[in-house]
Amino acid sequence: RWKQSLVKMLSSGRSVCSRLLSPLTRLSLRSGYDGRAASTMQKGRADPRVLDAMLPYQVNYYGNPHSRTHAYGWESEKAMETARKQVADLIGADPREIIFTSGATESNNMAIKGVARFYKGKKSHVITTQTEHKCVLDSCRVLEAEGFNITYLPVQKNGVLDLELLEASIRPDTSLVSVMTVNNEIGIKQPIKEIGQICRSKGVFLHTDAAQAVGKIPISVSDWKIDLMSISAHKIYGPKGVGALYVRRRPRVRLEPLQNGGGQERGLRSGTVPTPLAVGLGAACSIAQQEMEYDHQRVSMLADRLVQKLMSEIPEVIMNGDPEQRYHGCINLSFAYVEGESLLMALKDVALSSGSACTSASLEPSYVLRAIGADEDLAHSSIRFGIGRFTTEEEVDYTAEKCIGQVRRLREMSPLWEMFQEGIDLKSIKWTQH
Amino acid sequence: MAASSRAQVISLYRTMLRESSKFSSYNYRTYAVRRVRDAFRANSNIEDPRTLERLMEEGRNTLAVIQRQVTHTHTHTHYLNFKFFLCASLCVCGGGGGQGGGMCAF
Repeated sequence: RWKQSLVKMLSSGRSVCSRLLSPLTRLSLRSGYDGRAASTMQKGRADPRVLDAMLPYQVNYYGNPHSRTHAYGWESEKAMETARKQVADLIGADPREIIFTSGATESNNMAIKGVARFYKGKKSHVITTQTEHKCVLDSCRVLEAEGFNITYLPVQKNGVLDLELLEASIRPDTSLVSVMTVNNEIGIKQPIKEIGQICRSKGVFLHTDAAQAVGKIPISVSDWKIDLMSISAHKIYGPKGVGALYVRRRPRVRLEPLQNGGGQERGLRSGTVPTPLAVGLGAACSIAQQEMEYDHQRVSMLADRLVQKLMSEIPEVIMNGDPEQRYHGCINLSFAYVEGESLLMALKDVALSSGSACTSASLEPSYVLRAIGADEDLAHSSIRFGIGRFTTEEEVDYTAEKCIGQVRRLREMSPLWEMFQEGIDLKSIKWTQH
Repeated sequence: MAASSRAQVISLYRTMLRESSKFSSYNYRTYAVRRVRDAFRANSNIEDPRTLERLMEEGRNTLAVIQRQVTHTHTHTHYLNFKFFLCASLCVCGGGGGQGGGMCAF
């Protein structure tokens, strides 16, 4: 009997199609806003224009850019050099100063370990800050184990580095200062221009991790006197797996390569450059340059909208980091008396993160928030919102609404919130330990 | 602006909006539509024929990018899934019924 019904079904092919289609149409709707698959964190989403530039090099032009003997290689080399120029133009550098790497993590490792090790005969001190990205801090730990002295400077309450403290910390044997341009967790902009002046006057190299800043705020390596700068492609809507390191030629910065081999990239980074990825980075840089003003206006508008909505509806919301000196696309808020992880779970259809992507797996409060002196409980209750080129008003409104509802719900369940409402100072309570 | 070039601008604008609305990804679609609209608005007062021609050329190039990207993002997500899904499920059915073979060509 089931064979008969099957035959009947198959003979009326149209109805089978429509029956099969209905779950599919529902699925495809999920990519639309109605499906609540809204994602505010647009990290890692490539721009269609970038993909368009890369595609020919994935399909048609597959030569090794370092091969000089055949036309395929020449095509790839030309594309790679165009990309190098696009990266250089965005930051006001010379194309010869751009080294392609696998991303900002590699660039940071290369710059910090490379410079410190090259000058170790004369200089053995490196300065960085406590709010740097994990890969900078970890590279410094490795150097420490090799016998270098590292100073991890604290930052002020607003997240900004104290310039006088920096100046006082530079010693005659300091080889490198590494300070990030825009913080990945709280969006703070460090005064890199002023830091650059201090470093230049003291004869110390300045490295900056600008992965979050390049293409989003105007940067000029010559005006800011930056000697080394890390760049990441996927933070500017380019492909994952590629980045660059800017290395100044005049005055020349020398570094010991991490990777040895065929001597590509002026011997600083051996290994074949992946042409399609480099082309993608170049295209992303050129688009970022062209769209910077437009993107900036839009991101600031959406960020204001989100913060306004949340702050006007919920009491006791604290913005972490300086409210003015920041990149608006990265907002870090603490909702007092709400546990950040619980709020994240409740908002799981909206892609956000409490702390950075690398650290969100642990339940420890973010070290960046601790470094800016946030109370332990506020550090626990923080959520990071990312706004980018592809974020829409509807997504912001949906996120805000959902967030407001969930914070209210979680606070209603919280005994701490109840005590706060009754006017009990929570800091005065002595908790018994079990 | 001459009437003929005005018609050309409007035609390009309409085509770009129409093609942008074909992106299957919600975020790409809304961005493309918004960006096209804002770009045409920002340049609506331009009278200089040379600038106009340059902008039209840029627009035509962007239109080509949009068309290529709409096609291949479609091919790589829904269309492919759709084909595989239909094919796979019908083949299974066809194996039992002995009549489904022809449907796989779909």
